[in-house]
Amino acid sequence: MNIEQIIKSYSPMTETAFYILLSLSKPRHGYGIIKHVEEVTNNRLKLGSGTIYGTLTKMERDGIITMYADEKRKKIYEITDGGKALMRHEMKRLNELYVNVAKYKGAFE
Amino acid sequence: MTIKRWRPFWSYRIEETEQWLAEMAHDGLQLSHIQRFSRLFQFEKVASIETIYQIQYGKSAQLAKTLQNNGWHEVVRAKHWLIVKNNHPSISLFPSRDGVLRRISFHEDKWSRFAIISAWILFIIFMPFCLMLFMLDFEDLAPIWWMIPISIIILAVSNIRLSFFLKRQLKALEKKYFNTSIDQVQATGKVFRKKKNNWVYFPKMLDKWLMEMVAQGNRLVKVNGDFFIFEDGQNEKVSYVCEMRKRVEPSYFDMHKEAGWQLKHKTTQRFGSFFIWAKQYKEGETIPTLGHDITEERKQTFGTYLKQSASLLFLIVLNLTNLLLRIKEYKFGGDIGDKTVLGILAIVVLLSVSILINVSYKYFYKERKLYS
Repeated sequence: MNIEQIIKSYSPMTETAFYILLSLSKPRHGYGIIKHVEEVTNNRLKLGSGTIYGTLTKMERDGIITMYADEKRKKIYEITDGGKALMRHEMKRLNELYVNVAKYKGAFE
Repeated sequence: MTIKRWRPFWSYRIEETEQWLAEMAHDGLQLSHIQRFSRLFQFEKVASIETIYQIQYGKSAQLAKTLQNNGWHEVVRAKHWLIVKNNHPSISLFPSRDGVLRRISFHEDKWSRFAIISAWILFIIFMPFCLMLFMLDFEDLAPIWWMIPISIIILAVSNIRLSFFLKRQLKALEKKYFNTSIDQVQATGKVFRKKKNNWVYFPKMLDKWLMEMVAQGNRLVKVNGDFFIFEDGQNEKVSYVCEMRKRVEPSYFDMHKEAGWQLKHKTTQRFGSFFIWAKQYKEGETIPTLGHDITEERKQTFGTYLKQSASLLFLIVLNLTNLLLRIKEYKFGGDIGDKTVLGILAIVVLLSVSILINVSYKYFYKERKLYS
């Protein structure tokens, strides 16, 4: 998949996919991703290993992430350039959302 | 200077090929190109060097930045294949084996089907061919009459051998790189067993039953077919999840095991693979789940139910037609053989109908309710 195809296929991202990619700000193990998502969402979002497995498998096939193994053969996931481009696009979209929320929230109080 | 070497089946002999490439590099031959269709490896004569090669496969196969920083770099890319190497004396990170294993697993699945067909062909062709050799005067036969069966036999035997070869390669890679084994539990107390028919078709009902059993102090030790072996008197909180998967990725097992799940059982049947996972939790904690999408799970279970009921329905229609035709032609006072066949057919039809009714009732009135 090229970057345009990745953005077309993934954006707007699900909360799960977004937080998984956000956790890959540095390479992590699968369980490390689960723990990081819990940490940044103050335990609001608890991802099951089945959810992580399904999302990471699809992302790896589409070239958004790549993986390798350490000496103990534990798998480590890393975001690719395509994945970084997707995150930049998504963050820009979310930022626009945030700005509009701040601008109009008074009308709904 | 360019040297070419032919290496058949290299994509199935991954570790051997990597070792061979390293030996070639040691002898001063560096890999420079691969001709995928002719299985030719092209080398350039250079100075001898100690190098580790690793082969990757995947539509999006790429070398992670961290791996590049660890000394890995791309040597050859041929469609979905990526061959990388590393000259560092001590390497701590390695490219993933997932893509290679996924490909071998896919091919093994397809070749095993060919192998079954080949076995049938062998049975159908080989037997009459042997009979023909004994019964006919061999000299009178035109060469075509014995060359065709012999060619088919050679092809069928090759298919079967390739299927076994792939199975061996797959098992070896799985054993070395992926933790796909069942987590064995040693029972210390009194054990007993309970039978659960057709459990693979009702995963949620099975989860519920296993959790009721553990709440009564009966911990699951292992599963043998339809028999569940429990250990009495183990007071603990355990969440059980049974799931059906058409196909699993190599990382499936590691992902769940890293998250603290234990694989209690795995089995592969006609409609897919079935797994039973277990995870302990403490009093007051939320019951752990694998976190799959409930709609997707329901769809998968319904698919399994449909396939099973369709095959039962086919069996019923086939036997019922046979039975009705035989009843139409039946003459009262006929011989005992006719009566026996009629009786057997009637029993098979009744049994199939009762299984279909039982499975449908369990699925629609019990299993589906557990997905809400």
